[in-house]
Amino acid sequence: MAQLNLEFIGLKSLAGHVTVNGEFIKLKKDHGKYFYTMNTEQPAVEVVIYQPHYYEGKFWFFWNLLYFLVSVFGLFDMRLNKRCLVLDARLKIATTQDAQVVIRRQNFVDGGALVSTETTAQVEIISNQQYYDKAAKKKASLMRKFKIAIAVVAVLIAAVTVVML
Amino acid sequence: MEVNQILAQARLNRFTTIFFNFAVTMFCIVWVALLSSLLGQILYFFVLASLFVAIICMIIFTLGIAFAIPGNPVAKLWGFLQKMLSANDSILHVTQVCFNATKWISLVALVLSLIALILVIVGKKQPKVGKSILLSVFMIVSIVVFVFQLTTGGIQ
Repeated sequence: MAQLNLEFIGLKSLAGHVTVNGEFIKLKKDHGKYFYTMNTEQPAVEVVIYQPHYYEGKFWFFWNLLYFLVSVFGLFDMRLNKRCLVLDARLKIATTQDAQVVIRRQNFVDGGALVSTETTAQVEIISNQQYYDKAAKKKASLMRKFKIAIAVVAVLIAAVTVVML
Repeated sequence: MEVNQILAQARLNRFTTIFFNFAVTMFCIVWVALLSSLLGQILYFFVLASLFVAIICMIIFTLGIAFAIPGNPVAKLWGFLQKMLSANDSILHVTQVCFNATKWISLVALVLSLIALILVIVGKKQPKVGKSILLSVFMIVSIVVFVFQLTTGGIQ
């Protein structure tokens, strides 16, 4: 059985964005760094760091409309990255023996690498990029216009109702 | 596969955040209402105390007038007392409403703070230190107010 120690540097708000072998992991935070230790009998472990935007999938419009309505016209919604930033890194780390892997975030360059690794273990990089999704940005713009239209209609309906009463 | 899983988790997190923001905002609104009604409650005691002093002063004053002005002193005294009591009725009513509202508002504040606390405990939310302290203080005070209301008057 081999022990794998992962150290994440420069990656903020990782909760819910990192999986190891398809399972979400609980990271320990210490002085701005995140740590994770696991024991495995498998020859390799796949680490995925992925931060999606909310305009993915077939039903992106439905989901965003639902968030908009549930959050009372976006009042209680979270702040989203307007440029639709996507972080995507998939690493396959060989675990035939104990390994210590430091995963460090790179400075942002559109289309550039997301992370660099420092380790003695063998690491196969399946994907490693960070970029602004232009298609998603168009969807976001469309959604924004739609939200404004809904808000205007809602205000008009409210005004008419008040006048009628 | 992992991507879909992460996206689903992100969607769930967004819903949780919306709910958390809603709960915290409502909690703050309720807290302001609670403070207002507490103020009303303080005012209630203050008004009672000042009324007590005022009534004594008024009685002395009225007695003075009643005996200083010629005529039937008892009738004049009764007229003055009646006027004074009818004027104070409305003030007493308002403060009584504030007093009654406090227990319900403290109950709502308690429920909302519990929801926020449960979200923190189950790990769906990790609020910053300042927000956590604020929530804890709010919760402790609302519990104290709630218990105080239970022991003094009870929830009707």
